[in-house]
Amino acid sequence: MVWLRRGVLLVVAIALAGLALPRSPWRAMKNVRATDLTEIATAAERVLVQRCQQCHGADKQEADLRLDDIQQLVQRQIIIPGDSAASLLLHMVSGDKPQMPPNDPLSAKEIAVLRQWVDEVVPTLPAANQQIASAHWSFRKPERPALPHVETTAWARNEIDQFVLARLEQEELSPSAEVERATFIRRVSLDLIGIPPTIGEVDEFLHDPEEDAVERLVDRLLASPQYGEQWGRHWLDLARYADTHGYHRDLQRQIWMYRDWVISAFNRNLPFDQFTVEQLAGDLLASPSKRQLIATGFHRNSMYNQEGGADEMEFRVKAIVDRVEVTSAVWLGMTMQCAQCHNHPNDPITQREFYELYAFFNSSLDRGAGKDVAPFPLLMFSTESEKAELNRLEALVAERRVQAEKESGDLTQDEELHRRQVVRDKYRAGIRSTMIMSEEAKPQPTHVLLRGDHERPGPRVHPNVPRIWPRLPADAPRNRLGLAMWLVSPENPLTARVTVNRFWEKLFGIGLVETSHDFGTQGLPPSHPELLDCLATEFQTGWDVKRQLRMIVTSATYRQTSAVSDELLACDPKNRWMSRGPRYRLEAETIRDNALAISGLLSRQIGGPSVFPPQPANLWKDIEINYENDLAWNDSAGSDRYRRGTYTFWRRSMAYPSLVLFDAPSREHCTVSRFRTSTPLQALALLNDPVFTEAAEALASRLTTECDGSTADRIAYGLRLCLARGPTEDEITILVRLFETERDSRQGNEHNAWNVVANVLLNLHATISNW
Amino acid sequence: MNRSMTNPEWQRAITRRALLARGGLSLAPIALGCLLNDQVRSSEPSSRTVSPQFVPRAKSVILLTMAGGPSQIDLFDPKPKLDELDGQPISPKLIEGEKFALIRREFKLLRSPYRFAKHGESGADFSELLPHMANIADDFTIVRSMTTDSFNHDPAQLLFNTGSTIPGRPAMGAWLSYGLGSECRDLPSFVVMLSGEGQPLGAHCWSSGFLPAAHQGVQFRSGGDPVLYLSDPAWADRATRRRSLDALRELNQLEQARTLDPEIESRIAAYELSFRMQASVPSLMDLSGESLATHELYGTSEGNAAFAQNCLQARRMVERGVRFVQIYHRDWDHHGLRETGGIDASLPARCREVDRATAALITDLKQCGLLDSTLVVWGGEFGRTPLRESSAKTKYPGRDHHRRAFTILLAGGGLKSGTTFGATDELGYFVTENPVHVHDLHATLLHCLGLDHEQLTYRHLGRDFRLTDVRGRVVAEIQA
Repeated sequence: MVWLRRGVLLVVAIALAGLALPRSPWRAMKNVRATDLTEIATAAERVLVQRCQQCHGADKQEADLRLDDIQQLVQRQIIIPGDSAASLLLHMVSGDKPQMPPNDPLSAKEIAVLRQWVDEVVPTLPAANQQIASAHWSFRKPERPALPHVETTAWARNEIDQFVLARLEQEELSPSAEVERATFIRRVSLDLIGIPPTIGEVDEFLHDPEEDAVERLVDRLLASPQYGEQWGRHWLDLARYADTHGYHRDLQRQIWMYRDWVISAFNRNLPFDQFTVEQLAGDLLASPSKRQLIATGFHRNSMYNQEGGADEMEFRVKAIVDRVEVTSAVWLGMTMQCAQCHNHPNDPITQREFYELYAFFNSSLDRGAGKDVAPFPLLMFSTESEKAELNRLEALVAERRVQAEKESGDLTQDEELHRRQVVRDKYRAGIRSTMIMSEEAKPQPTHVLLRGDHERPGPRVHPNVPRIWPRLPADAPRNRLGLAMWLVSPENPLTARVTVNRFWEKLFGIGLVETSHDFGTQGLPPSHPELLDCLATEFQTGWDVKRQLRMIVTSATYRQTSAVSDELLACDPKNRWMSRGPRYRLEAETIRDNALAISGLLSRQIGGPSVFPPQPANLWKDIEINYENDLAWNDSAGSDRYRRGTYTFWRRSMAYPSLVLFDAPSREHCTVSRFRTSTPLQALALLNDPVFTEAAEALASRLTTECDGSTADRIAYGLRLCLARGPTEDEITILVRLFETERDSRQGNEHNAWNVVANVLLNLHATISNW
Repeated sequence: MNRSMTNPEWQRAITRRALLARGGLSLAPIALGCLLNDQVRSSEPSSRTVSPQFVPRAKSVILLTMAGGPSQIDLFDPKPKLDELDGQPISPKLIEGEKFALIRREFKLLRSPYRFAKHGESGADFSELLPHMANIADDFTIVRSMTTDSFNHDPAQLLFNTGSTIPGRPAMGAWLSYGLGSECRDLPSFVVMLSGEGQPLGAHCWSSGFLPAAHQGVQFRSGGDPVLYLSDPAWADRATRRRSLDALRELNQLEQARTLDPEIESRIAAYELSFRMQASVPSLMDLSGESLATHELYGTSEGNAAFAQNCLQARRMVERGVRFVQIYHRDWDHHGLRETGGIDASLPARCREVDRATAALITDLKQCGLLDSTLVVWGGEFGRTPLRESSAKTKYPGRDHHRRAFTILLAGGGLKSGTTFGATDELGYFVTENPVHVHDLHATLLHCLGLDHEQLTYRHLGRDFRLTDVRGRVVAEIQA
């Protein structure tokens, strides 16, 4: 059905122009007659996106029409600002026999929203894109908000609580009671260091009479070296850190020093701005230290294709695109992916701007594909004898090269030269080193790639940041260093918000912005906009990560019990208003670390090359090629079997199975939030994986050796090890019964019966959850 | 053609699809309630339904993946012209701007050493290497005009499996699990089995990508536990395990009563399901109940029968309601670089390993009345060049990777059987008629299962993703 005359030439407009107004909580839709224009705009945008733009949007333009281009709509008189009755749009979707959308008419409410939008919102829309962009909440610089007024005065402990309480009062809810102390220490320990408290630590905290017991506990945890392991691990998901190159053979790389740098940076409490600059541009700092060079491994975590015949250009482009995407996801909370091929359909980012960002990374020395076992550039840590040997091998290669040139002139076909190169490369790859970033002396110019195709270069571009955001300072270098400084400049509206929101998400299981990966116009608005800005502006004052986390975990909000009532569950199912404490299943590595800690097996060794805890036999053989350089999994011996999950060797094409089952990512890409699923395969892993059955056996022997009381006493001890809190009578009764049945069914064999009990303890929902 | 929309199975699919298509990370709470695959619960009502235009014929897919890229020129797409031009250089004009994975200097054509004949009433071409498949020629829908984007294995395998050359997207099986769920409560909806060696594979080819882990392909293995961690530890027999799970349930229920944590319920159900899987998987994997005739049909007792056993398993899985079974058979990468690797030695060996069992699977499905509701796909990630791959030192006939044209075989699933679709030029280099890109194959496959490839979306990083990315066309011409 043609409902417009055709032939109007479409200029690809900055997408969603005019519609990208600030959003507000969806509950505003309850009242369509709301007077707040932004709420109407949000609601109308929703209708247009969901009901119209599949056929009239960025991807498809039936009847040459894009309903995401407000300028065009006004120009072509499809809508008359302020006059819905005269607007063609409303004629098409309303009436007795609405013509659009075909066979699936809009509801009366949806029509009313569009009518009100045309009448009240469209007339107020700014024309220029710059203004539109700046109208989106997250693109405006955060301002420190005034503290809201609250009715209840006794509850709040810090600013966070003021904002949370104000919102609760608005919803006519009240905060939940403070959580019992034993549960609090378990919660905050698992959150800050990823390891549960010992019974001794629980008792000490329970009997600490001082006012500031919580604050001192938190300070102790933040000072513990395990803190860096836990919070570093979250960062490693963003950095897509892994121990292999990815793609075809997916062979080993050496970059674990970068992982250790991250852990140490959190432990040193390196300010987040410095943390940013060193990772993105440590090599560009004046006389960088080794540590700062190691930090640049951040962007060497992109993949490298070693397949024979892989097109170098194709995979270089893929690596650079990955760096743009990771940078924007991590610091700007935005996805730029769409703009690789065309202007972003939803956010005001053009394809040209994508390639201007790309240009910052396109001057790096490394390649995306090749045969190198250890792809350059590397920071080498060779010993004197290694240096000498490498020099000798280099000389052999050089010697043969000269000879081959004389003999045939064809270096590529000279087998002896090839052999010597292989020997040298293999030797070099065995020397301790780490992958780092470095700049090309004379970089190639960057071009827009038409449709994202590396074989179709378009206009030339230079490094720059998208126009919707503040300019790069005039004196900033036009390189990665300039970009890094811009990301953490006080003018940048996103970095601080995006980062504190991720902290919040890790601690509460859900971010203030639920779409923590998307702060653009398609993302959800923050549940507590002022709280987010309060935290962001606070963070910007010193980029002090520990202080920020301390503020959150000492708040009354965080200290609430997570137990919930039916009423509360009904009116706030996702705990968006923070009417109770956090409750969620632990992340994959923490499930492992927790079980090993409870059973007393956990190794506390920090850092070093990745380790190989037991995994089912031949798992990698199934996918390998049978070459001599195949990557083999040989179970580590000794305490390396019991290292924290963070240190498990991470092969991208087949990551450690029991971690993957609990939603750990492959690390082929940046992961902002993990899923938390519940599957029978997880149950099988926790019940039967030798790692967990070994933990059960170790826990069983702890129960019998560390506690000489009755069966019930031992079970109570086990429950305390797992849950920190004191057990209930019912819990003990159930487990005593299980113990006795098992013992009696095995002619009095207590040993096995304790294994069975310990296995159940480690499988409790409460054991694998933080609550 | 507007068929009945009241088909309950269809309705279930639609409701679920509409529910899920709204996607995004807001799905996480739904995923919490997600059991093995199909136990999706949500308090959010489905606000919109997508109107169906078609009723699905197929319920399941069996994907026989010949990893490495089998040579269409030696199996399905005869090129007599190559006999004539064997050993001669290809016209440089024809390959201007073309890139190759390995061929560098000499661009010489290579004839097929194998005899071709026409088979069945449809007169489909098969070479002598696949006699059993040739016998059931009329059951196949042969697409000779496939194209893909990459001539490197990993990106091409990724594209074939996930619709993108970059890792991290959900595989076809994961999309179907997400879109349609499972017909079976105690088996995964997406199963993967491997056989052969010599071709690296990555689990990213059967990953759930950005979809919840419940949709991930579950590898069923032949050595050790068929499913990871399926066996109880030495100190727990079945009776003990039952008692432990009872105690665990009671303890979790106490916790639930105390805290009202809604997640506990799905955790309890997951443990119950794991207990049932411990019985259902071994009984599924036990082939001893199959008749002698069936074993003979598949050739499960001959040497190197892993592929044949997997094919027989695939039929058993489809019978039990598994949505998507993918079998990889490796080592179809027939370069001329080593004595045992070329189209003269390795290709016939691979064909012997898969020919009989592939034909048996289709025949067996037909006999059980399952072929119409099961779509079988046979093929690799790309094809092979009509050019000889020749480095100075090798004399073995081999072919390089080829993305411009290759052949895929389909059977069942409501497609038009006994058809050959699409054509290539006289050298087999370019497609000349009815090109079918991998995205089109995906669109068609989803269509066979009643899903519109443009509607099956998932919101991730602010964007609605599809299996077919921004492309894909349903090949209506091959629908029955």
